[in-house]
Amino acid sequence: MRGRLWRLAVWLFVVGFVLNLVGIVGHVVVSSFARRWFATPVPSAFTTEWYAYAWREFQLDQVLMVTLTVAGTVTAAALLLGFPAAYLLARHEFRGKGPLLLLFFLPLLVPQMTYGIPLATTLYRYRIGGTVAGVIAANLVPMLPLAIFVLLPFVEQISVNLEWAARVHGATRLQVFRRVIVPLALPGLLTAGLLVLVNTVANFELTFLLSGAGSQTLVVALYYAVFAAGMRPIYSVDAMAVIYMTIVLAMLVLALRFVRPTQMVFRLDRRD
Amino acid sequence: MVTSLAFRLTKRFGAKIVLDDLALEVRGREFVTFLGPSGCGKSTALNLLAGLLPPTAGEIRLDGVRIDGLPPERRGFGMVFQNYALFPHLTVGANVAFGLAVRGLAKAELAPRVRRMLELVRLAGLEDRYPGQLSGGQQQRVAIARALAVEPRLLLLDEPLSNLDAKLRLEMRGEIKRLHAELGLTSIYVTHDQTEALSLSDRIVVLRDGRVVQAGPPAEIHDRPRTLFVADFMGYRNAFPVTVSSAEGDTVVGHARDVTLRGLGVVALAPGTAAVAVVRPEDVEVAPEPAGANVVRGTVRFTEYLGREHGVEVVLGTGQTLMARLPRPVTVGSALALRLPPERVVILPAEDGAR
Ligand SMILES: Nc1ncnc2c1ncn2[C@@H]1O[C@H](COP(=O)(O)OP(=O)(O)O)[C@@H](O)[C@H]1O
Ligand SMILES: [Mg+2]
Repeated sequence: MRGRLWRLAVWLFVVGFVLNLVGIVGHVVVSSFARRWFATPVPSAFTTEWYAYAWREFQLDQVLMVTLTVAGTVTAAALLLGFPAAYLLARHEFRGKGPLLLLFFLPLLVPQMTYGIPLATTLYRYRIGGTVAGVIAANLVPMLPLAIFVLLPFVEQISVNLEWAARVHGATRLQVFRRVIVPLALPGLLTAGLLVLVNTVANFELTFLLSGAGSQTLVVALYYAVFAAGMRPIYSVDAMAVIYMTIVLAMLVLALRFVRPTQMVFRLDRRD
Repeated sequence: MVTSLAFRLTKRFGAKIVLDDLALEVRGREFVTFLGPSGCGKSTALNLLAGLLPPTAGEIRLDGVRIDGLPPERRGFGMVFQNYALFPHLTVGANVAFGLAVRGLAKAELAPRVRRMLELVRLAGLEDRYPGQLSGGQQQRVAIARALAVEPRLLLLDEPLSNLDAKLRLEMRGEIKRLHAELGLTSIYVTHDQTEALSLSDRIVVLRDGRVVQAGPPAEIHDRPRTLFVADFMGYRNAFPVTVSSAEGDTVVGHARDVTLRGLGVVALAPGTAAVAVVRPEDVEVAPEPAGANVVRGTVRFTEYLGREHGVEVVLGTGQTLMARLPRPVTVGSALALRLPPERVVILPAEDGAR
């Protein structure tokens, strides 16, 4: 009896949660296609013109370009720097490695605002703040550790014996990397890359603090569209929100196709 | 491609000395085995030779030329690992071709050589499989083909058979011996299995705690162990403390409280010194007469049927136990006189905690 009640409660909660979500998202989606929507359950007429309006008014082509540049560069840099770092951390044991890793991964654990503001102040002092480069640099602060964090177990599971077999049979360090390590770590690179990509596109705090007029990503532009001065039709803001949601959702679906969350087990202590 | 190898190596991990000035010369085409218990430094020795670990001190010479400064990829060796260490993302063909491909050989040249190597290890036609699709024995053949494909100046094998079941182990042992002879290889083989060492080697080097305790041809290690450690490793499971009464040439006589044992003296022993007489269970025989030279008496405590023979454990008058393998069954509790043939008994110096 209690079990049934409990199950019912869980079901009610899940249904309520989903309805709520569908309600909000549905409302935004419907609104973005509405010509006008007052006091009726559904809009009286539909249009796609708010998308065109948003595109023009909020300079979405430029915003999307910035978003793409920032996300692409951060992903590439995080993998390019993170992979060798993960390799070194996986292969070398040294004293204080555990605490060092923890310190290193701090940006992943603490709220971004805590270090975002001093980081922004510093970057503005060096005149990097407000530029696309500044946004990229700030995003790399948590994204590089994230990439390493995700890559580490993938590299650790590649047996050292494979590297040794390659070396003995004639491969230089570089050839071992290219022919053995990278191919075997490919799932990890894919996983880390997609996670960094999604997180960078979705990042608000750091990008908000560091972006200027020409270096806003989609989320930050969305924020300004909602709260900045000047009256904008709510339908156009909704249209923009739909664009954002679609992009992030598409990336998430893509990510989940490749990422195996069970592989992302991270161990600070290893060796048997 | 006859090569001679000479090395002298010391390796420490922190304060732990793993190889203590291990020195050896290997002739071209020789098959040398490092034999020793787990942890005695066998793998470390191979890894130092291959250049995979840096030595703490020492040198390696190949045909008189020092190679210890060279990185592994420039030593031109082949190596077979215990866990095969095949590249899981590459096909069998690509695994075998690996050493040649990294040397920059053209694709067209690779195919026929890979095919020849796979024929050599009797795996023709499996080029396009992946290692994960092969049995353990097949995987080890691929690993051997990969090592042989580079025409190694020296072939290193680190317990290549210990992951295989007994039947395959026997089969692969034969294969390795065949390939070594057929290709004129110079090989260093590592194992903790005395039968493997005996059947494969031209020379066995018995290691203990990173040091050579005895080196020689298999028959010499088998029949003339110089220490209790080697004797134990070679299956001399019966040991009797004795005092040396006399030593003349090869023949040593030792006595305990109620028995006199004549045996082979491999190491010089002065009369009066403490020694140990050792003998294998297989060499013990039922005495034709209840008394006589090298005869001991006791009571059967335990028997075990082993198919071709019977394992017997006998408690002697001194309270010691003696293991024997006898052709005919005996009953538990019966009295038994056993002869330890003098030519099969070895008398060795009693040593510090060797057992
Ligand atoms: N990387 C290492 N760090 C510390 N000790 C090691 C390392 N590798 C091996 N050892 C130690 O060296 C000894 C010899 O190891 P190894 O050469 O693998 O022995 P074997 O192959 O004869 O079983 C062992 O006691 C082992 O614990
Ligand atoms: Mg070993």
